[in-house]
Amino acid sequence: MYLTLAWRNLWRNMSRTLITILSVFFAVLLANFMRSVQEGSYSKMVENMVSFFTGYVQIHDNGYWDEQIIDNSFEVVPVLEQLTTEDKEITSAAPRLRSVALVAHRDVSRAAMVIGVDPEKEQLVTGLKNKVVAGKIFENGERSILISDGLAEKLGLGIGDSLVLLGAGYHGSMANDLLPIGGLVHFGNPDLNKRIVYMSIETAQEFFGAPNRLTDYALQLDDADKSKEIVKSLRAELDTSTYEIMDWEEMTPELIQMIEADRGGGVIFMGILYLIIGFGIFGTLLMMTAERKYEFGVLVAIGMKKWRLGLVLFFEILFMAALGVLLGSLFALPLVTYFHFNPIEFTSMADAYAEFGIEPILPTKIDPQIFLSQGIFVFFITIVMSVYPLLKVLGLNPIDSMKA
Amino acid sequence: MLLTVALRNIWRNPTRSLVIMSAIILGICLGIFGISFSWGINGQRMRNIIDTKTSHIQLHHPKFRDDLKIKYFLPDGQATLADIQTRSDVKAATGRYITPGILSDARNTFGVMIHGVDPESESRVTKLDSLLAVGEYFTGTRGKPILIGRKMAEKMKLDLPEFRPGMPLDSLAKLGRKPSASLRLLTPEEESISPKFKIVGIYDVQSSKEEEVNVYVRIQDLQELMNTPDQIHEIALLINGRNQLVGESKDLTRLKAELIEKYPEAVVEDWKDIAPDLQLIAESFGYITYIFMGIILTALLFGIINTMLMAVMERKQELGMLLSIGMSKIRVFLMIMWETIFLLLIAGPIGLFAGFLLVKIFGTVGIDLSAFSEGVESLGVSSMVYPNLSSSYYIQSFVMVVVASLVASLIPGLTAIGLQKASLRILLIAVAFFIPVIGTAFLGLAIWTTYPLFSNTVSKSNNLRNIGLMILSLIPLVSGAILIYYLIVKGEYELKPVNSIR
Repeated sequence: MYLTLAWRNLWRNMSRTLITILSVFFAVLLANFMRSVQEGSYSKMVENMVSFFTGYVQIHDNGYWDEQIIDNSFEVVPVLEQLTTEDKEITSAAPRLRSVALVAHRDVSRAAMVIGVDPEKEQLVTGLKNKVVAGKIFENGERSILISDGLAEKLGLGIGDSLVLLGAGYHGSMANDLLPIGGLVHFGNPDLNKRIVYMSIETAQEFFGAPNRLTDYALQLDDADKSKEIVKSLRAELDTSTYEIMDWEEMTPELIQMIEADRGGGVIFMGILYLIIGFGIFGTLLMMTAERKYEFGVLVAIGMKKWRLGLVLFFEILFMAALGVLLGSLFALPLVTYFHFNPIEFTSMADAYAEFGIEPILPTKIDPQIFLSQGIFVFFITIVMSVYPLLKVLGLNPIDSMKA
Repeated sequence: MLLTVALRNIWRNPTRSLVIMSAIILGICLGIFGISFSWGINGQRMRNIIDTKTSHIQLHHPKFRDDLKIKYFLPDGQATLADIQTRSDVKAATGRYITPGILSDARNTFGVMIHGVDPESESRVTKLDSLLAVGEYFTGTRGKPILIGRKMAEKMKLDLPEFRPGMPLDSLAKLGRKPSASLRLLTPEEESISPKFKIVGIYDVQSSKEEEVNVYVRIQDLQELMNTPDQIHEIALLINGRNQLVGESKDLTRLKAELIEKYPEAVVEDWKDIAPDLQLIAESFGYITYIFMGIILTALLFGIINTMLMAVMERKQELGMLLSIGMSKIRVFLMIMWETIFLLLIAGPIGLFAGFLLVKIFGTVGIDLSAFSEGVESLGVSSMVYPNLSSSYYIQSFVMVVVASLVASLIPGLTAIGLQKASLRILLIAVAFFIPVIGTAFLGLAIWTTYPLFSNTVSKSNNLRNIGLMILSLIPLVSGAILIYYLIVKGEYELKPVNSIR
């Protein structure tokens, strides 16, 4: 009965209902959009940083992360390769062997980071080929190397020249070699750009005297949110006394801190937004009550109990809130999806971003949880706001309210 | 005459007027506060970089930053520093002696970057003393004191009482005894020396990379050891002025230009030159902040428009009455507009003042972000945001809200004048059409992004989600159609004087 009455009341004055629904609708739409932009920006940050070097998950020899030396490398065993190729969530696994070495040309010498990689697999994790600015990348097993252009400049070397490398190999062996430079890579970070040498994994293993050994496996995932699960399942399958499995959160705590710090600001922005939409909804409900004062007065005067009237009104608001939330979420979904695939671009600084290998775009994040939480929250706000009209009805004086 | 009626109308129904006015006040006030907060938070991000890492401006020997060789001293370093420290537009300046070296304890050796700093002026520039998690700031020993990072302390497996890796260091009041470490470094004459230092303190900057690499000693100790008195490699300075980025930029550019001119033999760089990557990250967060502002302001506009629409809805009967007793439509329209203008005139200044107060209060007190997010307070840098706004933005948000209210009052005004027959119906039908149009647009987009004809930027694996989306975007289509049916076939929403009085 109450429900039917409330439902009919809604359609009796359609424009009023529409306006109220619209205010809830925009509240949900904007709250959803804002949260999606927020979370999307964090995901993009993570993606940018992670695809820069670390990958989402890494497998190392136990103890390597704290002491990154070649002696803490591990042997490639079939089980590792199987694990990383069989799991569907893992899109790619890049094997690496890295350590420091002294690179020299004539009387100039530098400490450099020597990284042995599989060019094809590395491409899928960090997009190494996109960083090549001159010459070409090596094939697997090839002896030519890539060096960062900042380093090449320091040493006065170019493509076709040979680079002298000296370092400590596996278990204290001497590592030295003369390798031809096949190409140049560029890193936006000037510090990094001064000390990077890439070579194929086979060449690196030979150079460091560590045949069939790796320092890390960098795993690329479809979805950053899955990294925790992957780490968990890998930890269950691998012997954790031999291997350590870390996700990006453990490897780049600075990034997490930055995001956490930003979340604080995000909370305040959401607070402001909620305040505004809360007041928008309140204003609409308040005006609705004022408009229907006469009607309520008549109903009470002809004998309707105030609490019954209140109940009908409550159901009306409930319906409108539900409709608004539903419609709002429905429209937010395509909106968010659109900006996920066609992200907002920071065009004014595109060059600066490109320099650092960061895409200057801001895709939104499609996350059902955001929709659920925002929908529920706005619904909740509306219900809380409905206290005012209810109180108004319960304290109604029919005679006063029927006076024009 | 009309003015008086409009004014009286405002006081005749105080609830309605109050609701509209508070919508406007809140709108202006929160709009101003929102913008000032986003300025504040952007300023804070950059300030954190400046305060803890780069300072505003640094001076070096032209070759020093590329090639950290000890021989690249800043020309006339000590004199330049003294000179800069006396400038009125410089808040604090400090000189540093920087050289790579090897730190070793009984067991291990670690490559480090040794920063020789002047404890007193360094604490004013980078607040190094406040980053100390445990121990003392270059005091408490007769030997040569050294500060190391937390990560380094963990790696050295320092035999400190109760010290365990990972435990919060601030729970330890003091280092029990002062372990020593020896540094191996090369003098400018390429001689290797290995002086002993006493570890007096451990700093914590929440960045293992920095904690592992940077160690701090007193600059005099280093200068003596190297036998290069009065030489420095780096001057870092903070400029004067409150911690605001907006006002700062101009001063910064000017000071930088002056320094470049005055010290042609040195390289003068501001924080953007020194840490372009950090600046970029800070700026990309800044962009996101502006998007937030856009969203918040949109919400604000809709809130005001909705409230105004409701307010006029309530007056349908009254307006119909006025029309039926012979008041001309144009006068009714003007009356509504005047009412809106009066409300704006009252609410606008109040809103502006409230916003101004809010910004001033929070701009002085600051907003502590650590209350809203874990992990900020442990950064060792300020989690305080100081909202701050230049005057043009007050006017901007004021104008925006004024325009929004006027537009919102136009709709009822227009419905009142004459478009009696079908005005509201047309409006509602337009809204109803709007829904399926958007629905179709999104449907198209969903299809296009699923089966991209011209673009190859779409990532895989989202196809299923997209198909779901397409089905979902059918719902607005259908709901819009139902709405139109109701409005056209059953609708009776025009404002006829006779109807509306009933």
